[in-house]
Amino acid sequence: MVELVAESPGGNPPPIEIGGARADWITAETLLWLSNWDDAGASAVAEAMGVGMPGPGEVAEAPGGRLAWVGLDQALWIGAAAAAPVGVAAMDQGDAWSLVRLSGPDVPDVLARLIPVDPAEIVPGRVVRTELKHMQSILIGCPDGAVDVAVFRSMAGTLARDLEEAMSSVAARRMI
Amino acid sequence: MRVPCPICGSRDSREFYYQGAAVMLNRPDPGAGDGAWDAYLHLRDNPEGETEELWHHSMGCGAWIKVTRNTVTHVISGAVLAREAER
Repeated sequence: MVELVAESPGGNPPPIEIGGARADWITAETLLWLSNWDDAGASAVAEAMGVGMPGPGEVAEAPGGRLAWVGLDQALWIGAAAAAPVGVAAMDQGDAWSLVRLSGPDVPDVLARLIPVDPAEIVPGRVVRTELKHMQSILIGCPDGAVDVAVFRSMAGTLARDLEEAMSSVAARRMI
Repeated sequence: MRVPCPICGSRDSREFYYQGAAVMLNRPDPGAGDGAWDAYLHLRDNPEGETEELWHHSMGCGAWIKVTRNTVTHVISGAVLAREAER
C-alpha cells in the first residue's frame, strides 16, 4: 500500500530561516470556505465544527482545527476533515491556498516590510486580511508570536521570495 | 491616505479599488427611458467639496463601501457598507 504524504499546495519547499525569523510550509487536512449562511447554517457549522461563526477579524479555536473569519460573511475552516454543513455554501479550497508559518522574534519586523497593517494587531485569536506585497493574503495570529500566512497557491513561489527578501533585510539591519 | 472600512477599520488606500461616484447604487428602472439610463451610465457631477463614492476593499474583506470624501481637503468623513447605504 502506497503511503501518501501530505504536501503543501505550493509544493514542499525547504523552510527559510534567516536571522530571527523562520518560515515553514505547513499543511492542513481540509480548507473549507464557508459563505452565504443563514441561522440554520450557522447552527450546522457549530454542530459540525464545534464553534460558532467568527465575527470580523476573529479566529475560533475548535477541537479539530480553526474557523477563521476571512471576509464579509465568509469564513475558512482550517483543520481536520469535515463534512460540508447543510445551509452553508461550502467550497473545498484545500488545493487553493499555500500556508506558511512564520515564527521567531523578528516576525513583526519582517511583516512590517510586507503589509500595510500594524503586525501587532495579528495576535492569537485574530485574523487580518490585507495586501502582502501585491498578494491578497490571510494572516492568522498564533501562539508565541507566530503568524500563519496564506496566499493563493499560484503565488507560493512569489511569497517564498518576498519572505526571503524581507527576512534578509531585517537580518542585515541587525548586523549594523 | 487612509480609508475607514466599516468591517476592518482604518486601512491604507492601496488595499482598495476605487469605483466612482456612488450614483451607481441608484439603478434606474429598466423602463426608465434613454435619458435616465444615459445619465446613470455616463453623466457625472464634478463637485468641489463633499462627494459620495464607491470603494471596494479588494485586498481586505471584500466589502463594497460608500465613502464620503471632500474633494478639496481629501478628508474622508464617513464610510458605510454599500448594502446598508440609503438608496
